[in-house]
Amino acid sequence: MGEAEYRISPKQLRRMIILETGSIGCLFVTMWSGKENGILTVMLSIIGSLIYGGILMAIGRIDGGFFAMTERSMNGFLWRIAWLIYVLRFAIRGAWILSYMEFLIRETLFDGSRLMILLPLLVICGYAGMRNLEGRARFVELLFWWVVLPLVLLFVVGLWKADFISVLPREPIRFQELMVGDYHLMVLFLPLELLLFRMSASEGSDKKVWANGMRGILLAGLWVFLVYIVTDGMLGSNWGHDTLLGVTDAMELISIKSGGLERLDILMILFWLVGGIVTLSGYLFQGQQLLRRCLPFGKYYGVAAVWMTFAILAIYFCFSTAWEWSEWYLQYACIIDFPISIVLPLIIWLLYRMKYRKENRRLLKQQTEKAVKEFCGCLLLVPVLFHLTGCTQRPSIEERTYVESIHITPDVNGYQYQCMLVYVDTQSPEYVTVAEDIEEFNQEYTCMTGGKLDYSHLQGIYLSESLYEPKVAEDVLEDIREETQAVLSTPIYQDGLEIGEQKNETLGDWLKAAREQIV
Amino acid sequence: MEQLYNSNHEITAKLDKNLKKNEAVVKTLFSKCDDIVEKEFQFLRQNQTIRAYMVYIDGLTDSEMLQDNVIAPLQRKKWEQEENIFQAFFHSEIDVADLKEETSFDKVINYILKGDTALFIDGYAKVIIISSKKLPTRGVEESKAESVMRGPRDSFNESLRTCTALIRRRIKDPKCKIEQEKFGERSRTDYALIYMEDLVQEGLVEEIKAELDSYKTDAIYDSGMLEHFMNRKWYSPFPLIQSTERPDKVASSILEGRVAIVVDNSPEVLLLPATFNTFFQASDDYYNQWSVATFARILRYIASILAIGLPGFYIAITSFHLEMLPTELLLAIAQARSSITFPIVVEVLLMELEFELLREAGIRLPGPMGNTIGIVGGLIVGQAAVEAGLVSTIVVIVVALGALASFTIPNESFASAYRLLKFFLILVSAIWGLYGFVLGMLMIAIHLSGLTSYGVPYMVPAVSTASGRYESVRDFILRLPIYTMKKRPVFTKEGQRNRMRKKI
Repeated sequence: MGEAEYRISPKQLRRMIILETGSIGCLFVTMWSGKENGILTVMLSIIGSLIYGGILMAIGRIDGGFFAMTERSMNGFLWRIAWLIYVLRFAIRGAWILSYMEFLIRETLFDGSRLMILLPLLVICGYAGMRNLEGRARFVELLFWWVVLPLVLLFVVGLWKADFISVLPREPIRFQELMVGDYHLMVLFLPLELLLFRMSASEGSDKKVWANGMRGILLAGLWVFLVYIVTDGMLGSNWGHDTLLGVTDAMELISIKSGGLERLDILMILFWLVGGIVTLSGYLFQGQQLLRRCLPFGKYYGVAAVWMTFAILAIYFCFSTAWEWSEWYLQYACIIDFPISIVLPLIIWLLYRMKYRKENRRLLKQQTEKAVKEFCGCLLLVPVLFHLTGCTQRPSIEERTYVESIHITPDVNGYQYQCMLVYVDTQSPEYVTVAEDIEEFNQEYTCMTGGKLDYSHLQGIYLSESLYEPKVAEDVLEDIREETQAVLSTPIYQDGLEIGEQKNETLGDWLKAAREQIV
Repeated sequence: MEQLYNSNHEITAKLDKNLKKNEAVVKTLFSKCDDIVEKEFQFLRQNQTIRAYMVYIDGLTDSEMLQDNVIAPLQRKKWEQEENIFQAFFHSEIDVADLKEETSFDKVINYILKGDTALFIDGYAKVIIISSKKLPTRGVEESKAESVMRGPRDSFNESLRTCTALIRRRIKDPKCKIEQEKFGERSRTDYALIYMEDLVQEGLVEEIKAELDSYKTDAIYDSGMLEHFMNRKWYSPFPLIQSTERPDKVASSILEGRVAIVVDNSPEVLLLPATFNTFFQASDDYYNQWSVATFARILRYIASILAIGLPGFYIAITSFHLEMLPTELLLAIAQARSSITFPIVVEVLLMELEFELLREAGIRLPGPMGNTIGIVGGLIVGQAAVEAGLVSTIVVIVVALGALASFTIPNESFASAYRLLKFFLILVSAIWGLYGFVLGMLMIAIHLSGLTSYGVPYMVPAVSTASGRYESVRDFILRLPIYTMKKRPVFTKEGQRNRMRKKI
């Protein structure tokens, strides 16, 4: 049976959207929504997700679906490349979820070795991934109420304990910050991309499928919204913003005394775990399907699923902690993944249209008026898309202030930071201020100049003679490592000495030496 | 002897006009078969002697009936010269309603083996088959495995014809078709496919036939064996075909578009397709008040969760997540376990093992003794184990509750799957705690969601099908009033889903 012959009901489509999008989205919403006026950000992101999901649904519903459209509009090599791009992106997302789940399990459920946590998790996800679309839809539908009902009920109860004052919008509302926050949150709605591959399999009229799809996106958004206001209302924006486990911390604070179980929140974490597995297995399943299309796996779901599982595992090992993964993933998803998720289907659609037009020129002549309308619609979409990609929010190459070197000396109020700056317009190459740490230093700079320092081209860190000792300088260097883009190979110099007299040491050497001294 | 059979174990000999030749073949085929009864007759037709030869199997045939209705009338008859003896026998002289004319030796032998009588007449290359079966069988007795408080008590027995009769008695509609086939090259066991011609899903009957035709085996002795041949998901512990010994359940299933397979020598009738939900439906659910039936249904679903998960959950909580227990309960468990030397998982496994042994012993021993073993095991061995410090009282409660819960599931083979998976959950919970428990449960859910029984998703109506135009949900965890169940479930052919309307 070919993939196109499988059929799912609109209800199944809706439930897949809610579970796959909501279960992971809720866990990160507080962390990524920004510190101030997060509620507005979340609201904006829900609106954004409806637009985003709508575009994907429209593309996925065209003719024989996204699979057929892609494979008809490009030659074999190109569409295979396109599928491999999707596979890679899904594997990265899977690895990120895997790292988070490993962290969640370790912190809350099972403090065992990494292998002991990962092994059963991957077996389950792989098993869930090796099936056809109907089997997948049934699996999600079966678990739907088991996951959604307890979690939603818990957070509805949590509404009574939340402090809404801290959630309500505050003055001043900076539109630009809101949009950046909203853009970050759009990353949470990336599972909607799976709609591309499912729309054509949905049984029923277009109207019914669309209605169910949009309801699914909206309900997922509302679930995210509920979790946000409860978590933020209970933890406050600072705490929620600072921890990967904000949601589970909030659940702990809800602490319903059930009588039978003292810590109901642990039971509830199991439902998050199930939700996470559903999303992870969703990427695994879709990756497996795409792999079968572009590689000669044929009808062997199992083999493709195993390959996809290994791909996720291999990528997962690129970062060692969930924090690193989340930080990197947010950047990657904002700059690369999310834009691709919308640009690639659009390109494929345009290619399809062009080919279609060539083949049916005569027919299209009669439809010119319609095509003009479509074109106008596309034009209207461009500014929306431009905003969604977040390009407008990022400072361009010439607007950045690059730091060439940092000079640090102790001061009564902390440290004196002196930076050699590289301005594109060759203005003052030096900036000096006193701060307790590098974060404060950066903030000072932003307050004074309105710009943002970029450390990606840092040539060296210069320490005064009293600081030139790994153990003494450890705090400062850790700070720099965490707060800037400084790489471990950045040289460390002693201030006042000539370059020829300096030892050949790097930031990595010093951090290692400091840790060893502590041990 | 070997030459009489072909590679498919069919008799290749042809019927001959010469009675001596036919007799020789029969004698060869049934040599050393002391239960074969052969009788020769001679009739005088004026000056000519006509010979006839009758064969049947002692014990399978009603010999009194043969004497009164076949042999006596034939011997009283005065034959005319011009009379066609075969036609006279067939149409007027034998006082038996069910007569057949057969020209294939293979079929004749098959009829004899089934308990019919074959009458060979000299000069004819055909045989009269007299239906004279009198098979040793039980009467229609009360169902033991699926007893009900309210509703019909009759159950199927080992006779295929009795089974089909019990179904026909309930569905008096010519659209109810009964197609009889054979399975097993040597046993040649009869089985019947019973279905409603207008309600069954298109292609389902043909699919079943094709499935069974694809196998060639010596024999089957029970419908359970036929079920194995039809089970495509051999690795699944869950039965994909329902079996029952209740005629009312079979009749109602047939009227929902399902196919029943009755197998000769088996009191269990197979029903397919089957879903997870059908195994929770007991017959008296439909005879009792809907509120009572709904309560029972909810109870059964809760019991199923307890049966599969309670011991595993207990191990996970008490070994890994003590913080989840209220302090008083924690102290009570700790105190109960203070004198126990084994870890919790060993303790639970010991009790589970004891329970399984008792169950097995209870089945094998004769009725009254089986009950005694249950009481002795439950009370005495359990009590002794606690006093000896092998297990704690809480574990006895947990295991007993799980066992009790497993007995509320109305289908034995389905309940067995639960018992088996309980051990899987105990194992994963012992290794990974609640994390393992939830992954184990999830694995079962994934497995269940992937199952289909002859095209119908196993988890319907918990999951929807693409078409979704049915109302199985009214007969799911809740059993709503009968008059609200206006549509037939998902098994029925599209366009035939309405089963109830109010007369104007």
